[in-house]
Amino acid sequence: MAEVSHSSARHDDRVFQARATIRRILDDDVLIVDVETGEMLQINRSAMLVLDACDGQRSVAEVVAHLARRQPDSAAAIATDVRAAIEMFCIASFLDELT
Amino acid sequence: MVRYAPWPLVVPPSQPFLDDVAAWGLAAPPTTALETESFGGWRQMVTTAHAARMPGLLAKTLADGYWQGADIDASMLHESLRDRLTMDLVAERRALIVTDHFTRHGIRHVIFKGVAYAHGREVDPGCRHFDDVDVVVHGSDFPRAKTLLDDLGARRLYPEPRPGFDERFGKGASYISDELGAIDLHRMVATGWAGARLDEAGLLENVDALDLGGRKIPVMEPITAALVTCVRVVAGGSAVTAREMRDAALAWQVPGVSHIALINRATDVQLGAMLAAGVRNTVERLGLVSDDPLIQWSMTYVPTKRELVRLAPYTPDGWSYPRQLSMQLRDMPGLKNKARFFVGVALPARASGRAPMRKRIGSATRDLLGARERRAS
Repeated sequence: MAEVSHSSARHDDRVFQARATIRRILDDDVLIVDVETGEMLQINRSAMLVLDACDGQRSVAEVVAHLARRQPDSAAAIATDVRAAIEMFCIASFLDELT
Repeated sequence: MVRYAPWPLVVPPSQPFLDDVAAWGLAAPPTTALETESFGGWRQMVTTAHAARMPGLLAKTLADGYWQGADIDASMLHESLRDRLTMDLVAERRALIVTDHFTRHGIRHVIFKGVAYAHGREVDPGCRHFDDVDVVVHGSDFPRAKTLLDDLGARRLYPEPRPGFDERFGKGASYISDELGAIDLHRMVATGWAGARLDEAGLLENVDALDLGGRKIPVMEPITAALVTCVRVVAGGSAVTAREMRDAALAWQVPGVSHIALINRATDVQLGAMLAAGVRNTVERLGLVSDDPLIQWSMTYVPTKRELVRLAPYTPDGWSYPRQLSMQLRDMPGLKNKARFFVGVALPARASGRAPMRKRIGSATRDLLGARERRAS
């Protein structure tokens, strides 16, 4: 996942909606393009799961819980990674925050 | 005495190693890994596959152990694939934009080839690369589609031969735009009489939709799409690539494509022999072995003399554009139509920038005489 600072981690009750994308698998990575803007990003598959989990319904905390359910032993690390990924997607404008 | 083209038809020339790559997932893999040196080495193979828009399939065959050689460098292929996938995504987004514009202007259309084949046929869309957008519209909508593309800032590459020719007889028009890249606007999806026959198969009837990026892209329904792909495998003559043959093989295997419905559709528009030839050539070139009923049908198909004559100008050794057009002319209803078509083809307006009349007559005559000599020999 992309390296980003956690100092600006957002509140866990925020809700994000992934923007419409088209994608291709490239080995362990995924190439994604924002349909509206044409912005392109190469991310790993774990980050893709985070993006897909941001469905405009789940809060950040719920996204973390949703993804941590798959690997309960690594829950703490997953929480950190998920927040970092959400931060990165926000910076890259691949997530819209719902108010 | 007229001698007819042999049956089975002459299969377009094979492309060393690309045929094996194109047959991935369709034919049995090689029993022992093939030496990269036999094909000019790994670098050459990657370069060739990149130019042929096949790095995705080359990657699949590499993973499945098709190749051996000390020079195999997976990172080189990875870079080629990354490049192609990036272009795919750019073109795919452009297809979404084009379809949005066409829909908003009420122009009935389907997106053809690239996007449609990548998502409708391949298990992994990353196996089918493309870099342009192909749109098919009805002849009556062709002028509006042209106006729309003009308004979007797209530039037409070749002018219309004569005013009004496009919507009545033209195969299509190619456009280029800074924002939308290359766009091929089709009225017909093959040249000559075969293209005109396909038109009668109802290219824009019973349109399906692909879900892509939260939007819908109109595409041909599977049986029409399978017929079109198989016919194009023949209509392309010697220029047909292994990748196009893969498109055809995948098309007739799409779930929901009944071989009986496909044969009936082809027969209804007098394209039975074309369909059989497309399937046979694909099977032979890609080395497909199957008890698929469509393949069995194609192998036992006996074309009539008339069908062989009509197929001849599409065969790799008898390919003749003037003869394809002359057969289209023969099929055309109404003397007025025939005259307009002939004038458009033979006497294009000077402003259209087509080859001068003298040159065109010369090349057509050589072409037709060549075909007669071939028949005589």
